[in-house]
Amino acid sequence: MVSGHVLQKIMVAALAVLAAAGIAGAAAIPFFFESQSLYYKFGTDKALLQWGKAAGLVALVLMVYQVLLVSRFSFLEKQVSLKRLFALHKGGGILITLLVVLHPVMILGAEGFVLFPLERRYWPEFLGVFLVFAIPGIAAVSVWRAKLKIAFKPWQALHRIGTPLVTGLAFVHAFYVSETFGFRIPGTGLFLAAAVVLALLARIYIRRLYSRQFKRRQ
Amino acid sequence: MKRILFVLVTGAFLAAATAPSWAKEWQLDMSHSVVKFGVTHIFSTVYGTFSDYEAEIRFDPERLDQSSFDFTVRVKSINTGVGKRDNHLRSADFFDAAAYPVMRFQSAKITHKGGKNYVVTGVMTLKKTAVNMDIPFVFHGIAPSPFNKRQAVAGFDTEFTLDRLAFGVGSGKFYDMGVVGKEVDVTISVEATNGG
Repeated sequence: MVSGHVLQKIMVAALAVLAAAGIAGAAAIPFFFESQSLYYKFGTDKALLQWGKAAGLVALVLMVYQVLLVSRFSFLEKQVSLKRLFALHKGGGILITLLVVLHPVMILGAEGFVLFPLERRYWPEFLGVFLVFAIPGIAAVSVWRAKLKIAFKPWQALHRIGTPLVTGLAFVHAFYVSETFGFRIPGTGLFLAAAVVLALLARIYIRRLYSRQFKRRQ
Repeated sequence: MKRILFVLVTGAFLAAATAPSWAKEWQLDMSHSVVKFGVTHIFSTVYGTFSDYEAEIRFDPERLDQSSFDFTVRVKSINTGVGKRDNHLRSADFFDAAAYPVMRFQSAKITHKGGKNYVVTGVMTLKKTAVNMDIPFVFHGIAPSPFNKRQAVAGFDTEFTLDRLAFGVGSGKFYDMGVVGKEVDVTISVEATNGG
């Protein structure tokens, strides 16, 4: 019989492997499932566009992991420790910010920095522009909260609203900005990732609701 | 003082009487005009429009020597129905809209070819290239507007072909690959109004 402790270690290892596979899979999408915009790019421009898309997709996958890290799974907290989970969450946020900033720079660079005109049909791109400011904004406020003299409770409340919002919007942006997710494999992957996020968020909110009720009863 | 005033008023009348009577100036009716193009993509034809353009139209079939067309199209307004393709067309691979925001046709001469058919000769400027062109067009005539009797409406139609590579719209890479044709069929239909 496998003991509970060993089983938890196996689960953490499996999660780590899955996480690495998720990142590798996301990064591979622009190379294996080329959108039509890539047909017309060559050399450096093509590389910029592919890696720029990969940066955005990896950032999206990391955003899913951020939700997992704050989901308070007891086996994760026992095996990895709350301190390390927090460090991973913080490091993940910084990495997401870097990728989110890099993503449009590379994509626009491939197009010679031609900006999209203010037309309704470019709403997925403009949603992306919003996220380019919102995500680093959330990260900056979180990292420099003390320096900005923001109390923990209001920051936490805002963080709990802002992060699921930008994660949801990032999925919408990814789905509508490119025809890549019209392919079956990336499309299924995106919907699975969105389902995982929704399930994790639902679990978090239900847990919070129960814990509040439990506190009230005490 | 009276003498000076008399001289000034008389001079003004004489100037008005001897001034050339210019051909009518027409205002473009953007709601009922179109600048359209078609270019082959492997086998099919991709159609698109430019939505931002302006024209100075002076036209009188009786005074062709005083008639002229000055057409300016803002290339940023290109729309082929696919946002990403349009942005690619705006890029340096094609129009380089940031460096060359407009294309322009300025007429030098208009010739009547019989019936409703005319030819306008002028300079087409696109990116760095200016080319002399003869563009045939149909002048449908002038009619009072059915909506406003004090307003006159004139109609013009033209179809011509441009070699995009001659204007540096693309390096020829996509043409050599057999993807994007070099001949671009341009259709312009204009309704213009005067008075009212």
